[in-house]
Amino acid sequence: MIHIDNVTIRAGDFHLANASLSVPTGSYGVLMGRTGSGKTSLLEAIAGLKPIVSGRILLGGRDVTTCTPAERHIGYVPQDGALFEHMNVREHLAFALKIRKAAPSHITHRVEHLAGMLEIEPLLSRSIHGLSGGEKQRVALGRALSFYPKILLLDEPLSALDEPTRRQMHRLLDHVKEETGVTTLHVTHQMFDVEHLADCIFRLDDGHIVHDSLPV
Amino acid sequence: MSHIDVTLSDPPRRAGANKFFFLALGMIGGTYVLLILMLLGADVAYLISDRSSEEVVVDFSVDANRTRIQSGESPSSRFASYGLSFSSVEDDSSLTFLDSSHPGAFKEFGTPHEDFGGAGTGAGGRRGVQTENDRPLGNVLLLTKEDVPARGTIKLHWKQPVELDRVTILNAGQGATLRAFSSDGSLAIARELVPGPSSGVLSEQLGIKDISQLDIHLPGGGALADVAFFWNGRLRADWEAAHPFLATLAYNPITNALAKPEIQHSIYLSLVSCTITTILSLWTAVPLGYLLSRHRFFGRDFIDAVLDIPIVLPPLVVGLSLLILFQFFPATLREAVVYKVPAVILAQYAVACAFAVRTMRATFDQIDSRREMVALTLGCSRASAFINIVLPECRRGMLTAGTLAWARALGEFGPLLIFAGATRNKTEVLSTTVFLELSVGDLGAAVAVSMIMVVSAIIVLVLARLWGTRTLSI
Repeated sequence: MIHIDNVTIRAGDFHLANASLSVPTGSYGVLMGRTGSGKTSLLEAIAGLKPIVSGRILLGGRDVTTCTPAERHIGYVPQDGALFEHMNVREHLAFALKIRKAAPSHITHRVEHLAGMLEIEPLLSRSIHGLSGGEKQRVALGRALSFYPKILLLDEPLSALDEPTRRQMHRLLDHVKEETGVTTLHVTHQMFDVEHLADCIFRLDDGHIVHDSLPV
Repeated sequence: MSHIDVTLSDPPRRAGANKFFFLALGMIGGTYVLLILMLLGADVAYLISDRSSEEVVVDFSVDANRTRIQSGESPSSRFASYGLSFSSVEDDSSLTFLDSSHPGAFKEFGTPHEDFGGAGTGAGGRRGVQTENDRPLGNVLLLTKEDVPARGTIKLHWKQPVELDRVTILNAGQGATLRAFSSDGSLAIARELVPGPSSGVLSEQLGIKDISQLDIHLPGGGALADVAFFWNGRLRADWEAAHPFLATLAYNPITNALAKPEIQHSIYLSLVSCTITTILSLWTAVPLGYLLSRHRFFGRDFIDAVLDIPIVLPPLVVGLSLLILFQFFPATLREAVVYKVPAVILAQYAVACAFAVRTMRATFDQIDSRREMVALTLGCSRASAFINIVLPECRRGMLTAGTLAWARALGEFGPLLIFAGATRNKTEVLSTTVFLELSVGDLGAAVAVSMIMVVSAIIVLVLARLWGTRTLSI
C-alpha cells in the first residue's frame, strides 16, 4: 500500500501543499496532472529522492518518511528510463541484485526470468545505445523490478512512445501487474495511457490533489 | 469598403549569394587557421632547411677533445674531430706548440709584448704600431726547423669544407701570405698581409665559404695564434653523401637535440612531472568537479570564482605567489621544495589542476543526475552510486581532463622559471630547455625541442578527440 498523508513539498517556486493519496496493496494507481503540476516531485518524494517539508509517507504500512531511498525498497522508473550508459541490458537487470550481493546463480535466474517476462531476451547482450524507446523502457522496468520491490513508481514511462509501442507497453504493464502483484503508482498527463490499467485515479492540480476518483 | 489586393512574392535573391556569405565567413576565420598552420609549417621548414653552423675557434689552448695542450707538443691529429689537420711543407720544417706567455728563448713569439707587460720583444708588437702585440695569445703553433724558428708554410686541411672566419698570426718579420682553396681545389682567395718587424700580431678577417685548405706562407717565419671557422658541428660519414635522405633522418636538429644528455634529462623530467601533475590534478578535480556540479552549498560560487584565478592570472604571478607563499613555511620545507623537482610539479599542478576541475565539472554536468537517483532506489548508497555509476560514466571526461592537464603542465614555463628555476640537469623541463637553448643562441636546438613539444601536444589533442569528448564546454 502506498499512503501519503498531508505531504508538503517545496522546491524553488514550486509548492505542493498537503497532498494525500492512498493506493491499496496490489492496485494500479494513476496520478494525473498537467505538465509542471508536481507529479514527478511527488513521485520523487515517495522514492526518498526529494525532501518533504511536512507530512508522512507510509509504504506497506511502514512509515518511511525519514528513510533513505535504498531503505524504501521501491522500484522506480524515471521518465525516459535514465539507463546507465556503461552497462549492457543484462548488467542493468543484474545491478540491484549485485549491489545486494546475491548469489550469481540467483542473479542469472532472475535476469532470465525478467527478460522472458518483458520479452527482451534477444537484447540481453546488447549495449543500451541503439535500443528503441520501447526497448529502453522495458529495460528500465526490468531493472526496477529486479530486486522484488513491493512498490513500483512509474514516471511517464509511455509519453515518448509511438502508438503501436504504447499499446504493446500497456499489455506488458498489465502482464507485470498480474504476475508480480506489485503496488504501482503511475504518473502521466495522458488519459489514454491508463484507462486499461488504472484501479484508481488521482488528479493533481495547482499544487493540490484535487480529485480522487473511483476506479474507472 | 475598399478591397486591397496584395500579392506577395519571394524576396529577390541573387544566385550564389549564400556561397559568398560562407566564403566571407571562411576568409575571416580562415586567417587564424592559416596563422596556426603557418606557425607549424615555419618550424618544420626551419628544421628541414637548418644547416646550423657552429663557430670553432682553434686557439691551441685545448684540442678538439678539450684536452689541454702542453708547450712543445706537435699538432699531429689533435684536431681530427673537426676534420682539421696541420702540416708544414717546406725545408723539412715542423710544427710545434709554444706557450707564448713563457716563450723561453723565442722572445719574438712572446705575448703580450713587453710594452704591455708581457714576454714579447720586437718592434712589430710595440705599443702604437698597427700590429701591436697587446694581449696574451696562449699557445701558438710555431714553424720550426731543428728546434729553431724557421720560414716556411703552415698548411691547414679540412676533410669537409668550412666557412673560414679569421686567422691570427704572430709574425716573425716579413708578413704572411694567405691562400685559401675551395673544396674543388680552386683558389678561393689570396691575401698578402702587411709585412713588418717581428712580434707583430696580424689578424685577418676572411669570411669565405667552402674552404678545404688554407696555406699560410711565412717568408720570415712565424706562428699561427688562432684560426676561427664555422662548420656544421660534426664530421659526415662516407655513406651520407650517397644517401642524403637517410643522413637527414639520422642527423637533424631533433636527433642532435635528443642526443644531448641535458635534453634527455629534460624530457625525462617533463614526462615524470607532467604525469605526476596529471594524477594529482585528477585526484583533486574528480571530487571537486562532482561537488560543484551536484551540490548547492554556501560558498559554491566563491569556490567557482577562485578556480578561475589560475586560469586568468598571468603565469609569472602564479610562480611569484608560490615563491612568496613558501617564504612563510619552515626553512626545511622551503629548502626541500623551492628550486627543486617538487617545485616543478607544484608549479605545474597550480595551473593545470584548474583546467582539470573545469573539465570534470563540465563532464559531471553532462551526466544525467537521475541515473544516480535511480541507483539510490536500487539499493546504492551515495558513495556506491558514485563508484558504480558516476565514475564509469565520467571515464571519458577523466581522460580528457587528464590529457588537458598533462598538455597544460608540459607547456608551463613562467611559474617554473620563478619557482623552480631553470637549472640544467636539475629543474629543466622541455619549456625551460627552449628558453635555455635560445639564451645560448642555439636556435636549431630550441626549434627542435619546440617540435618535440608540438608533436606531444598534437598526440594529446588527437587522443582527447578520439575519446569523443569534443563537445565539452570548457
